[in-house]
Formats: sequence, structure tokens, C-alpha cells
Amino acid sequence: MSTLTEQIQKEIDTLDLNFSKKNVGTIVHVADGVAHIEGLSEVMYNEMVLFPGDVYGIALNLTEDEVDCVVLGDISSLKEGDEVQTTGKLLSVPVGKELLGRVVDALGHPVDGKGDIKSKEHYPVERIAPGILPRQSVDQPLQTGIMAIDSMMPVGRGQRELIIGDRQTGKTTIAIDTIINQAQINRVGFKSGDADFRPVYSIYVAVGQKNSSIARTIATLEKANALDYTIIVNASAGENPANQYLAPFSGAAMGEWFMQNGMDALIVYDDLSKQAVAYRQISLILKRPSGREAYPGDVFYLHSRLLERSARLNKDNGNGSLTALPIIETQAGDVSAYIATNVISITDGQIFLETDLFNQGVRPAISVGLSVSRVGSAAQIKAYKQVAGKVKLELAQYRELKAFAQFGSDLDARTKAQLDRGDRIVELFKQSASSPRPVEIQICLLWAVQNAYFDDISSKKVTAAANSLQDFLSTLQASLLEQILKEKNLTESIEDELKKILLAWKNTFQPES
Amino acid sequence: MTYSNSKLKILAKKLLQVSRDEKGNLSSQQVSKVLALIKKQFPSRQLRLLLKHYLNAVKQALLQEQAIIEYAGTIVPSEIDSIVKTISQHYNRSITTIEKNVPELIAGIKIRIVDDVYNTSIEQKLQIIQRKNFS
Repeated sequence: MSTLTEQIQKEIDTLDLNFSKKNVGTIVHVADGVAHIEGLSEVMYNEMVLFPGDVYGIALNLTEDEVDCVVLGDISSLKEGDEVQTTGKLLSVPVGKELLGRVVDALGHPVDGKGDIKSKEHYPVERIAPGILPRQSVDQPLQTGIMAIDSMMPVGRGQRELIIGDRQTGKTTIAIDTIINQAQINRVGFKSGDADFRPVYSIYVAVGQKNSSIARTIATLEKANALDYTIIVNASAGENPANQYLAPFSGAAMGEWFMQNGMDALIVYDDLSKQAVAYRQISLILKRPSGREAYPGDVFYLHSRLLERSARLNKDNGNGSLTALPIIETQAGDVSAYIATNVISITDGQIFLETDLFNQGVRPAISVGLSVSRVGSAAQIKAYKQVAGKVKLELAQYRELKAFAQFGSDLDARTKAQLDRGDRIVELFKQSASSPRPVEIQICLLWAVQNAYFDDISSKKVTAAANSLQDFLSTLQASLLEQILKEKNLTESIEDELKKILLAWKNTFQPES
Repeated sequence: MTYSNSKLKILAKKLLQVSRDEKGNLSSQQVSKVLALIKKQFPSRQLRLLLKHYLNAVKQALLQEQAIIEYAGTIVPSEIDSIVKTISQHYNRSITTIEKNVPELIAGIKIRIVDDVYNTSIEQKLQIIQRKNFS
């Protein structure tokens, strides 16, 4: 009771008796999530406007007499003649570490039932991307924990790497595994007490997905203890298109906070095709001129301005980074579709997933030929470069040889050896979901394959052998793994040690078991 | 000749300009002249739409010169004069007022000029408190 009276007393004490000026307008027409408003002469582009019942909207079309606003909440209570007022604020969302472990909507409101978010700062959802001067080149690795990616198309901190493929090819799994790997690295890094350790915080933006899929993703992250380092921005398929269009920008604002404050963050946009569809819907309702496939003319700018916000800042600007993993869903493997080509041209590389490979059991179903990272080995530690330098080439040659080998049975020994090695690398790169591999383990595994330690193991047993070697190394040879991480280079002494360890492991591993 | 909707709007705005007297105020004499002219000269099938746009433009122009003062309780003429003087100075045009007693405001006044609203009513302060603490 006393707190209630104290609260009212406080409000009385701080009551502002001066005039408050607001700019208002009247709804003349409301339908399909868009309100046409007369008045609001002082409204800014992208400004939040307040409808009756505390429903917010954003002003998107400003004409001489009318303003078109996209309503961000329940439209059913709005009617013609209702008064709308400007807020003087651009659409902004809460940012900061307080959001970690939380699920929020496109406006940053919590939707996980864990109470309010006590965030101290807000960032506008639309911000200009960092310019040329504060940036520096991408040269620090961001380990995904997926061998095929880390070895052949490494991702660096501040890079934009597109994940593209048909439905049900494992696009989200790659993104979630990467988030899980960051959480695992963070946990080890914090535990080690290393002052130079730079954690990577993750933001997962779900656009136009089923709520059941999002619930599954959250459960996966929770199970892997990765949610503590992750923010989930959810604009599900049931939400209005404005929220689906805004969610990636809100997520980017949250990620930018980490980058601007000298930290590293990873953002996953799952997926931008659905965001483009939502934007198309809004644009058509707003009567903006439509172009190819009825998308508005600025659909390229929609994605380019979003992805340009991912950057690696130089030391003078805090040395932070924001890495983006946008996802695009293709139809029947068509990478030449409008939105797909747009995003391919914006990003610094793509991971292309193939339905055929997925159905053959090659998971992750990465197409080596069509996947590329334009940052390349600049984002790999030296030890990794030593073992993975030729893998992509070897795999490309393997695929070519395999195609030819189908026509004849007599193969020379060299070709046969190349095919056998290729078979083993393909098997080695198979990885189950939610089990990212630490980089030092990946280096050891690749070194073992390159140095013929897997040659006497049948290709069908390579996955089991790799898992066995991983267990052996992580339980019994932790000191060697630490040394690889520390030196970041495969020195002669490390290689000698590896040889001994691999011989010891081979005695314990029984391929036929 | 058929005019597009946007062209009709532009035409209505031009008609509004010629509906003002030499001081720049809307004059009923000028408006009558304009109405007579367009009735005579303009194609009848688009006349209705043009008149609608003209009406909107005139309404907007009238609103620009009018302030609606809502108050609770009583307001003395000197206060109204002071308000008119202040807002006329602020908007740099002569403004007339319409006064309305609105008990829902509880106390204070609310002035509306086109789409600008100046509010010092207790009702609005309570709404702010409600939004801040109970929503």
C-alpha cells in the first residue's frame, strides 16, 4: 500500500504542468495492416506513431496530404476517425547484454514469459552501416564447428556468408550448430581466464517460420546450453508482415551494440527470402510500384543495407565485429532466382546445400563446387591452413575422377588412391546435427587423413573412426590439443607427438567392431 | 479530355489560391466566382471529383486559420485573447477560435490548430501516468 502511495506521490512531484505539443492525424482508411492517415504534417520517415490502445506503427509513405503507416500490433481495434499521434522517435529496440538468453519480438518486447528486459540502451532499427574508415579486413576466424565449412570455406569475424539451398537441406542446422559452437568456445574461453579471449555472442532472427519450428530451435539451443549467449528475435509466420520485414533490422541493431562496444557477434537471418516476401506484401499494399516478380524496386537495397551493417571494425573503433549468416531458400535448386542472386552478390561467399547430397546421407549437404568463401584462408589459423590447404582441390578432383571412374573398371593405382582419399574425406566431413567439432580436433582429424592414418579403414567406418579419435584426443590428449591452440601452428614436435598418439589410438580402435 | 486524380488535386489547390482576397484570406466572394467558373468551363463528368477536392482544400485552409480551444470549468475572455495573440504570432497568421467546454479534461486546456495539439489538461497527464505504470 505504502509503495503505491509513494509511487503516486512521486508522479505528482514530477508532474510536468507545461504544455505538451503533439502532432496528430486522423485515420481515413485502415486495411491489410496499413493505415492511411490525414494530418501528421510533422511526421518523419520511419518514425513511430501511436494509435489508440497503445498500438504502434511506422510511417513509411509520406505524401503531401496523407501518411501511410504500417501497424505493428493488433489492427482490429482501429477504426476510421481515430486519432494518431507522432512520438518523435524513430523505431528503436532495446540492446545490450540484458537481452542474452531471451526471446523477443521484432520490437524487442519479450515473448518468453521471463519478465521484463531491463535494458539501459535503445538503438534505432535502421542505422547507416559503418563506412570505409572504421573498417578493417576480415582476418580472425569464426569457427562454425562444421569441418566442411571451416576447412574449405572458412568464415571470418565480420564476414557475410550466405547459406542457400532448397527446403529441408539443413540450412538452419548449420546456423544453429554455429551458434552452439560459439557458446561452447565461449564457455571454455571464460573458464580459461584468458584476458585476450574474445567471446562471440549470437543473435538468431527467425522470419516467417512456424512457431513449432522456433520452439524446436529454442529447445535445441537450451539443450546445448547455448541460449545464455544467444538472443532470439522472432517474427513468426502468424505475425503481420511489418514485423517480419522489421525483425532482421531489429536483430542487426542488437548485434551492432556488441560490435560498437568492442565485442564480436554473430547474426543469423533465417530467412531473408521470407523477409523479401513480407516486404513485397507491404509494398503492394502501400501501392509502391512493383518490378520483377512483383517485388518493389528497392528489394536489393532492403538486403544490401541490412547486410552492409555487418563489419569488422578497426582498433581505433573498438575492434568489434558483426558476422552475418543470412539464409535464402531456393526453389528446386535454382540459385539464379531474383532474391537469391541479389543476396549472393551482396555477401562474401555462399554455402550451397544440395537436396541430392542430403538424400544420399551427406550431411551437411554442402556442394563443394558451388560453395565459396571470398575471405578464404585469411580467416584460418596457420595450423588449419597447413592441413586444409588442398582439401577443396582434392575434393574437386575426386568428384571429377569419380564421374569418369563410373565408365571403366580398370584404374591405375594413383587414381584409385585419389578416389579412396576422396571417399574418406567425404565421410570425414559427415557430421550429425548439434555436434560441432572444436578446431583443434578438426586439425588433428584432417592431419590424420592427409597422412594416411585412415587409409586402412574402410570408408564406411570413417565416421565412426573420426568420432573414436575425437573421443580419444579430447579425453586422453588434452595437452596436445591445448598446445595446437596455443601455438596455432603444426610444428615438427607437434607432428611427432601426433604420430605417436595416432599409433596409440589405432591400437585401441577396431574398425570391424 | 480526362484528368487524373492527382491532376485534379493540383487543380483544386490552384483554385484555392485564386479563392483568396488580396490580404490572403479566403473570401466567399472569390469562392462563388470560382464555383461559377468551374461549373461553366469544366467537363461535367469530372466536376463532382474536382468539387470534392476543392472542398477538401478549402476545409484544410479554413482549419489553418482556426484554433479549437477545449477547457474544463471556466475560461475568461482575456485568457482567450492572450492565447489567440500567442498562437497567431507563432503561426504568423491571424487565427480565429472556437471554444468548447469539455468536462472530461478535468482541468487545464487543450488547443488544436490543424494537426498540432497543445495540451495541458489533467486528463492527458493521467493518461501518461497510466501508460507509464499500468500498461
